[in-house]
Amino acid sequence: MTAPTLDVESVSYRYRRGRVAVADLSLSLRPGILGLLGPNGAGKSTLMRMFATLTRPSQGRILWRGTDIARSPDALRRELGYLPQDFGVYAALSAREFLAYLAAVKSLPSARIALRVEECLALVGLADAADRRLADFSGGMRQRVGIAQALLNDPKLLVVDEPTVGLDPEERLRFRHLLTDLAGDRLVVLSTHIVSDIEASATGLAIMAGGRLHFDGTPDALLAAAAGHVWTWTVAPERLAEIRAQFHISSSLRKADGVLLRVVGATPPSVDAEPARADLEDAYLWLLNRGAA
Amino acid sequence: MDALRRLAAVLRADLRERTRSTRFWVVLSIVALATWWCFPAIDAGYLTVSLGGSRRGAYSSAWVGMALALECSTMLALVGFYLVRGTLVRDFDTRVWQLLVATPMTRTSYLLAKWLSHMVVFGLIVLVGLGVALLAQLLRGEDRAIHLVELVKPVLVLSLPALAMSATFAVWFDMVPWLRRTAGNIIYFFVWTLFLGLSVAVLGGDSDRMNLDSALSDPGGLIVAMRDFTRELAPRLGADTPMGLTVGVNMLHSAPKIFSWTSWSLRAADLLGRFAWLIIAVLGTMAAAPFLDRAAAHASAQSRTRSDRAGLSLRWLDFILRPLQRGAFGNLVAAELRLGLRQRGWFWWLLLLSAGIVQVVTPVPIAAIAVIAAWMLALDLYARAGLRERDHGTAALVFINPGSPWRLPGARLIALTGLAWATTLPALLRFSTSMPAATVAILLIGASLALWGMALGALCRNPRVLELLVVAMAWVSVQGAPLLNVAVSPGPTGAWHAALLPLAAACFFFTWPRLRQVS
Repeated sequence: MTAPTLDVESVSYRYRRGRVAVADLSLSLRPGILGLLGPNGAGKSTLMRMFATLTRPSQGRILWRGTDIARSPDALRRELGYLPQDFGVYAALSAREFLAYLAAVKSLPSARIALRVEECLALVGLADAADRRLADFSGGMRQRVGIAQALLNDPKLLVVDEPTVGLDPEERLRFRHLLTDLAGDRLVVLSTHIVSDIEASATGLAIMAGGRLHFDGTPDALLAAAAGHVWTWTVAPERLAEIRAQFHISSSLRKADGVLLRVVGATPPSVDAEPARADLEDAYLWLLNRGAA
Repeated sequence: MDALRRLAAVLRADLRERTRSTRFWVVLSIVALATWWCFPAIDAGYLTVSLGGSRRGAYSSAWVGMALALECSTMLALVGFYLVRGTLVRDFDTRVWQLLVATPMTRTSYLLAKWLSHMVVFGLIVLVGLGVALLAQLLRGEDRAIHLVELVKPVLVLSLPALAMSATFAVWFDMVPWLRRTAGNIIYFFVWTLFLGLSVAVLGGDSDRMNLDSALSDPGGLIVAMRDFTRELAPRLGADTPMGLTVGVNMLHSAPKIFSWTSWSLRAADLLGRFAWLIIAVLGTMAAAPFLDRAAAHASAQSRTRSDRAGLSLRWLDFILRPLQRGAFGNLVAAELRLGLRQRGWFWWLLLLSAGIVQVVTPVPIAAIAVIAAWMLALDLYARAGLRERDHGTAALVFINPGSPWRLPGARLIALTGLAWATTLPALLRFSTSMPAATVAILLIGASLALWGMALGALCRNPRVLELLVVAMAWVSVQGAPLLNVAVSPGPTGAWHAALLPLAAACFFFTWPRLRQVS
């Protein structure tokens, strides 16, 4: 089978009351992990729901292997795994029973269901807890059940929306490793507003804000674009409020001789400021504020 | 003063939450239509409030007010409960309660605010009813003199305490964990029937037996109204004139007899009796305050686990369902059945077993009632069938799969129909040789319950409509009405269920996609 492709052609989504969630967005996705980054309300989840065939674009087309998913959603659905930002479970069921139920909904052949459920449970590290009721699961364990259900049909397109929210650092690391393992010949879309998630696993990067696409490239390309626009500057604590109002600060650290700031901007904020190497967080801030800077 | 402000804030937020839903305005529109229907023209061939079966007052302000008040005291006290209940549970489930509990507001103020909010909703409904009643008085033209005091007086005196009691029950039924869902909705129907039954028992259907000097008052005020009708009308119409009060549809074969009713003279003792019910309702609400924290804690645990009980493992069910699981669709039907039955406790199975035994060993009329009981046992499954993904937040997991938007409800419909048939299997086997029409009726009603459950869930996005309908139908069926009772006219019973199946299917077909979108 050919490598999966997902092409977004001038897609817009407008709510019934007129608010635009996604505006004229075009993207081409190929195997690997695409990190979709943006502030809250950027339109990421709406785009994810469109990828998951839950919402139809108001304008434009989304093509999966060349087929319009609004016209033929089942073409994509057969190869889709989706982990929504918020989802519920049937708490009276065990993890194994819940996954078996969803496997039946996904039309997996009966003979394969038991084996595939075991594989997915093992993949997310829940084999030992498979017979416990979901009611007794922690938030992180439930999230892992969510990931397991997304993998049941061995999807070629895996859409994960804010997957690490609510996970502890160890679980977050485990999830990042899992995504990297899964990427291979799959197409993974990882939507998040946590920059470090992208930094750790994404091969491609798209940045959205206000429903529009502001960047489409690789993390390295974004870093290169932000190079020369980041500065470190130590200031007296009492000046902090005034400086925050004037400049875009990506981080601040209180030290013995004052507060060490990382400032993002086209020009140095002061003659005392020193150029610094941009990290992804700086580059993201620079991109979103370059008009204002 | 602060306490009052806090109470007003809770009340305001609660009302905003309610009145900003489409459902609320739909209900108000239905109330307006239903109220209009309560004041038929003289040649309409029916009455909704009548004395002696065929008499009513001329449409003066006093009579339309009285008729509206009696309808509100009985019907709105029933339907209104299902409309207003659930706000406490919503606060518990959404964890708004956790924010409120950290404020200086007292538990009593909180409950009173909720009670008042129920009362304001009732008030809005009654207000719409009064407007329509006034319009009916003017348009029917039997007595165009408008007396606002006479119009409103019966509503305040009769309906206010009755609705206050319903509001108190709504608070309590949200508090008690096992009354929060279908069981509570069924039980309230019987509570309402009990109160109504007590009033009817006192009225005795015979006005002569009434003690006209008594100050006895029932929650609905029927006794007070009946006593005043007797006191006022018996001298005018003659002591032998039948005066039995009927609230509800009464079909006529000839034009109704009209009497004049231009004012209602109320005794102080009756006013006190009505006021006593209002006080009982308020005190009853306040009495719930000491239990509020425990109720909220239980609800939080419940919403955390969404718990549907622990359920049984049901290994035997896997064995029975194995033949179904050869194909993908059969596998889905089996999964749906397992999901529904997995959450049943052992007590439910025990009741089902008892119903099954009664279906086999008792005379046909009793067996037919056991069939109704078996359907009632799974009523929550039928009523919530269309709402499962919305209630559990699993829509985004299940509706992204190939064909699932229609394949899944199809499988669920088959599973529920199968369940309805399986729970009545003993009766089906018993009647199959001796009463084929009853067998066909059981099969049709089973399919009807499953399909209407899905359809009404999708249409109303609420399980209570089907629950109320089925409970009311079960109640009248037990008394012999051919609605669910297959021992009484099984042919027509099956026929009208069959006739309505296409309507249910159409209703589901058009409303399900929208529900799926908002889930």
